[in-house]
Amino acid sequence: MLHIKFKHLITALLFSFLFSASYAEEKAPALETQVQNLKKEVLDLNKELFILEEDLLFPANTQFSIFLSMDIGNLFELDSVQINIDGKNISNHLYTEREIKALKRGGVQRVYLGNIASGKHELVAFFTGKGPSKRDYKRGTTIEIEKTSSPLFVELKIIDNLSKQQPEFKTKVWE
Amino acid sequence: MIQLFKQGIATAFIASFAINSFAVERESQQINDLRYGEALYHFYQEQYFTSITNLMVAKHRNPIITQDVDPELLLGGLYLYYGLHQNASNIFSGLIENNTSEEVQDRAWFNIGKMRYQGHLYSGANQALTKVKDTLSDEREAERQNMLANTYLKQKDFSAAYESINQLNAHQDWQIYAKYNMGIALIKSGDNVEGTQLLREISHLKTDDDELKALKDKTNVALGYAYIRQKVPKASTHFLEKVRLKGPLSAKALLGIGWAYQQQNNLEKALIPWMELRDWPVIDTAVQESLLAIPYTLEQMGKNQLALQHYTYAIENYKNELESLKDVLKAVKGGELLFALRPAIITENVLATEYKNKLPESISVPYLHHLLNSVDFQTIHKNYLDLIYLRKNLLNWKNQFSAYYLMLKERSSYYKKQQRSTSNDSRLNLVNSLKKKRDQLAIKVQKIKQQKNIHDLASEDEKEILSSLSKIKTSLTRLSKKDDYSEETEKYNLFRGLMLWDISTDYAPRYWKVKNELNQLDKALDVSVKSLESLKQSSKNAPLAFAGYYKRIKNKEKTLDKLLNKITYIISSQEKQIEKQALISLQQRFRQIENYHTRASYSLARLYDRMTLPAGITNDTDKDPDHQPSVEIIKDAGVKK
Repeated sequence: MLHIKFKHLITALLFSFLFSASYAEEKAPALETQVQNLKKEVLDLNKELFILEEDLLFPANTQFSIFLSMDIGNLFELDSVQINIDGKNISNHLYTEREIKALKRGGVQRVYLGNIASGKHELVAFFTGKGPSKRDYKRGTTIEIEKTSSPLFVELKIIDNLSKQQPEFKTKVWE
Repeated sequence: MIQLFKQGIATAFIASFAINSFAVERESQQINDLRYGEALYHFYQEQYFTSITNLMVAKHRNPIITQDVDPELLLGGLYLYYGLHQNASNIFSGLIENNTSEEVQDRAWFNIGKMRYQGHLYSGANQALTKVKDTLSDEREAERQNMLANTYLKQKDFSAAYESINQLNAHQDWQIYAKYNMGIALIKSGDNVEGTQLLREISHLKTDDDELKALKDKTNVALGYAYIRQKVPKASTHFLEKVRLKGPLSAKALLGIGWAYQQQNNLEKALIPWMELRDWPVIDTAVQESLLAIPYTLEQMGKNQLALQHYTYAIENYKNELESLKDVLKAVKGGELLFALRPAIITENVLATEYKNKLPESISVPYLHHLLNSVDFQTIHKNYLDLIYLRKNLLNWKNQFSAYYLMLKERSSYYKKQQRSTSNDSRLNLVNSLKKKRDQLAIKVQKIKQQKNIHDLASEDEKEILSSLSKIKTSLTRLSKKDDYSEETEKYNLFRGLMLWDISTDYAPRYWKVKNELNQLDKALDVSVKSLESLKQSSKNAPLAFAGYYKRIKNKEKTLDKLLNKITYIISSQEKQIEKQALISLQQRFRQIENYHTRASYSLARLYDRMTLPAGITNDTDKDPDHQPSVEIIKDAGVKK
């Protein structure tokens, strides 16, 4: 008899255990929702902080960004880029395979974000890598830019010139 | 994303939560907005957090309008990746409501369907997926058909599921997995003929692909146990013997082969695979079961002495395993599993790199592979990793605040210093005096125009000559009273006439030149006035701007502190949830081994009893009624609910 009672007790305990387990499962969506809401809050705050930092460190009247993009990019294997403004080096970047892949797929890299005084400036970019026939290749491109009170965006583009079978390095100033 | 559908097959720890397939449809697209290009650059490097930040900032500052709906689709996909289903849903629903192209609508419905599917809302997923028309890429269409087939299976609509599977003819990889899922679903529902037929197709596949080989093993094990349940042991061994000996399912296959021979009463042969398993690691549930099956079969064969030895061996092993499990339970309670699940280096693409296809080093992980491979657990784990990264990100921001305050303080004191020296600068008053001079000049020009006063348009040289001529005229008038100066007077008149003629015929260009110079002066003055006003405005606004920044930073700092507390709390809740799930899983395992241990001990006692009783006398405890393949093993094989 005692044995049967013990068995019932075990069964009851087992049921209560199972119940608590299923109760926990029912509660899980609440945590899931909390996680979802929290993630959104963090993403929103991150955006706000990003904007605040940009406003504080790079105000529009001095903000200057340089971007780099590739069109096809089969005729030039980019290793590094060096950027000078008015003869002064402001940025150097060595590329990883992952970055090159991202550029070839259409991504645009912000190589530099900084401040610059109003007026005219000379921007020189040097590209180092392997050209057609896998030979060492180094080319430079120069552009005169004028900074106004609006942010200035310059895009450096590496383009395959298929008719000449040579890479081309172009610059574009975005409004 | 194929990985998510290989239910129960995953040998990898973390199924790929790759989002490329639903976030970016076209690659090498024309970039019309650098900000979108930048978001793509990070997206392609699996830096989803930076990518999402880029898009959110762009949307806040000045929405990207030159890339059609691509940025919205990317943002929706990224929200989906981060598990922000509501936000993702808002974006995709917005795209549908905004009367976008059929292609965009298809992509939006596809993503909504996928989202519901991942949330186990199969009926809703089915509704969304059937709204897609025919603009999806081949790969995505195959994924849609696979999801559709699975949603039909969940609703037990096998004919509709079969129709979807038939649509996958051009995508064998998807079709095989879909057939596997359907075969298992049919067997579970009791339709053994159709179910085993589908699984047999997979079993007969010839492939060199490791993933498909793993699926074949899984299929053969499922078929083997299905036939054992149907009491068709010969068919069972046929499929179980096809399982690779060095695969993760080999123990289960060997165990099944033993059971199949046992069903045929070929006890000698049944012992062969089980004896092979005897020396395998006891952590495997199939090995645990074989330890009990061996002495039971020996007993049946009348080899009681040998059976005693094997029962004792089994009891010893179960004891050891229970001790090991106690250690594991203790370790999990002490945070060992969480430590193993936490990434060593927290980067934004930790999930994409560190945990892909890799089990973390831990004593508890080998006991939990079922749990760790489940999609639900992986979702919890992904959320956990996401939150750890987000907390790190918040802490990074928190560290920046002191620098911001210092920067503001420095700028403010520099400004005050500059303001003092600027306010005393005499050049500030120069603009006003220049403005007065300009006004006088304008009046003069106006007068020239009204009076057609050509003298005022004469050059300095001409004015000098005219002045000399005027003096000559005075002299001539005085001298003419005394003598005849008519010839000189005539010459004077001629010179003066010529001079005035030159100036008057040149009036228009001279007046235009003066007017033009006045305009230029106006422009230059305008710039100076604006600069002065800007300077005054800056002087006035700067303190306000400093105060504004200070307030903004302070507010953000407050919000950040609140969120940090919240995130720490939620991370701790998630850790508890992970630990709880692990403990439940380990306790189930513990109970299973305890059960084996009890049965082995009971059988040992029973056998001793029998051996000590006089010949011909039996007692009612002489049989172990439960002895057959355990429910867990059959469940593992996938053929039992």
